[in-house]
Amino acid sequence: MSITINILLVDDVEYSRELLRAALLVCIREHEVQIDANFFHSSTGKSIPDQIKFNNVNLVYLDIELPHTSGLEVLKQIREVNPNLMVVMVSGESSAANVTTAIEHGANGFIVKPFNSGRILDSLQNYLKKFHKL
Amino acid sequence: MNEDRLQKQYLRERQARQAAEIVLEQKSLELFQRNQELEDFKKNLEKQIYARTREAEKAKTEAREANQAKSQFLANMSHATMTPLTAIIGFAEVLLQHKTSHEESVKYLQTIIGSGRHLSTLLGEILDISKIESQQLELEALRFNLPDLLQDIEHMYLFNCKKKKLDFSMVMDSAIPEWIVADATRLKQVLHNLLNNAIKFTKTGGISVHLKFISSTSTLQIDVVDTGEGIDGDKQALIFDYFRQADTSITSNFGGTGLGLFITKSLVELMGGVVALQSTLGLGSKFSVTIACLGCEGYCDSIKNRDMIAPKAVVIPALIGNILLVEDTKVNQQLITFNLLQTGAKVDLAKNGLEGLQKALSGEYDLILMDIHMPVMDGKEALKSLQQLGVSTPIYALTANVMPADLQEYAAIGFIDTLSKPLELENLYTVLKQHLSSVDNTMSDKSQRATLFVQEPKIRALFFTELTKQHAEITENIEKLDYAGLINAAHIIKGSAESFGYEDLTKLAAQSLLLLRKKEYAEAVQYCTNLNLKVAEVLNEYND
Repeated sequence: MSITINILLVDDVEYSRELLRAALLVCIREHEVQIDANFFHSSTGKSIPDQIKFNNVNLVYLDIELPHTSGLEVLKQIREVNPNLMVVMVSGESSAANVTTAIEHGANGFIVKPFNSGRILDSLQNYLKKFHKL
Repeated sequence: MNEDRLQKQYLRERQARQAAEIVLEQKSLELFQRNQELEDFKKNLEKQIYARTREAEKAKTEAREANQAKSQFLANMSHATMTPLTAIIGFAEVLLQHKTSHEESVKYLQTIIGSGRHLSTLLGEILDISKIESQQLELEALRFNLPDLLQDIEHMYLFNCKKKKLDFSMVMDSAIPEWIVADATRLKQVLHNLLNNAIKFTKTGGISVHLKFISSTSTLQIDVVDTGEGIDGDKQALIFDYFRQADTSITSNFGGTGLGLFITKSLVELMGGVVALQSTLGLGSKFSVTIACLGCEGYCDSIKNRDMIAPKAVVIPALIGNILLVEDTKVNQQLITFNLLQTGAKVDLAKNGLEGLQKALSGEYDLILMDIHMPVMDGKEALKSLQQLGVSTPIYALTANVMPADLQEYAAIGFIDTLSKPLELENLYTVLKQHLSSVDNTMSDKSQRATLFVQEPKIRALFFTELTKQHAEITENIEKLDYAGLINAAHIIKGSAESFGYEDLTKLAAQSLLLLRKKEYAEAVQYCTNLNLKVAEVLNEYND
């Protein structure tokens, strides 16, 4: 049984997106369930809801520090159209303001950089538990 | 002919008059009766008013007396709590401000501890009363060994009575069950109250405890008999009120607060039983307690020579791991951290739920201990937020005074379990052993996961590619004095170097970042240059 996950990575630093993608691939490869992952990238917070719709995205990793906008604003926009989509916030720090806002806007995860595979694996497990009852 | 008419007229008038007289008589009689009724009614009303007034006056007097008694009670409570507090603060100040000999210090510290314990008991009683009055006291009926409980009591009071040169005996008037289902803690509370009172009010002679079990009704009867000063017939009902004692001088002469018997009576009644008192002034008293026992099993006819279970000494486990303690009270922070550090584990502290939340997200913990009542964000909210964010670290609730309803709530919202304060070390270490690894075990599953990542050749390659790119960027930005560009580069390096174990690189990057942000550009450029040199070093190593 194979599962397909369309993952959107939003971060203005290409290196961060690459690192996250590599980490996710490691976790996916090691996972007992057969997973087929498709990655989509965005370096800005523009038109994220549209991208989600267009690419049938299932899981979003959303950096908080974005140019011209904040990841939390983008989260709010996403929630207006997709109240149930799994969105994991990524940030360099866990300031009280960011954490509380993330929770208020319904974030499903909060990963603090530098990320380790434990956190990445947790987010993947949570996705599988929530949407595929594994 | 005229005579005829006159005669007839006369007769008519006479009849009319007679009729009128009869009506008059009737009406007079009615009037008289009505008057009589009114008189009676008035007399009755007056009697009722008089009775009601008497009742009202009596109620007013009773209310005033109760009010006075309650004021007296409050005064007693105030005195009872202030006295040990004064001792605690007073002796602590003495120890702080004066040099005292070792013997004196020991004496003062013992007084402080004793006063603290006394205050703790007193406050416990006040809380019990408050729960009883608002009908919130719940019994926890569990299966326990009755003879063991009684034997503990026997040993304790043999000792206490000996100190006062009083006799003590525990007598079984019938066999008792080996196991019963009841609230053991509250049963002990009742027995301690009655026995302590007995000792307090007995100068010579002795105290005996009689045990009888009535199997037809499954009731256990316990009599506490003393040869003390006895209680006056008038006062026997009063002593079970919490705001009265037999004599207001008792508090001053004998100490105590008069709360115990009210609590005892309430507890016994909650246990489906009654308290009875027989007492004669000058001869002694007998307090009889009967309680309903559920689930009686077994048969025991003697509580002598039972095997004593020696208390186990708590062994501190040697553990490795990271614990996050979320607790707002300084004293608790210090105490709990101390106990946790003893095991060898690392401990991080957060002083409220929000801080706990932040630390839990940015750190890697094997276990989180979370206080419930905290300012800014309480434990329940913090847990719910962590659940929403998919944090899988096991979280335990820490709290004092737990009611069964609270325990259920905590388990329902996601706490693995609850540890009650003050923490029992045995329980704490059991929890720790479950989630942290012992020193002999090689790397735990979790730390293996963390390193897996950075060993991946593809990921390492990515890192070094990026590092090369940033090296070029820094060189260019130093030349162009592009500070924004330098901030960007330092930020990227700082973020990733840490995961890959390059501490020096991380430090240099962090320092550069700090200076750049503070706009101390001259020094910042220096640091960036050093950073770049280090980067080159690392790259050379990798490329070899």
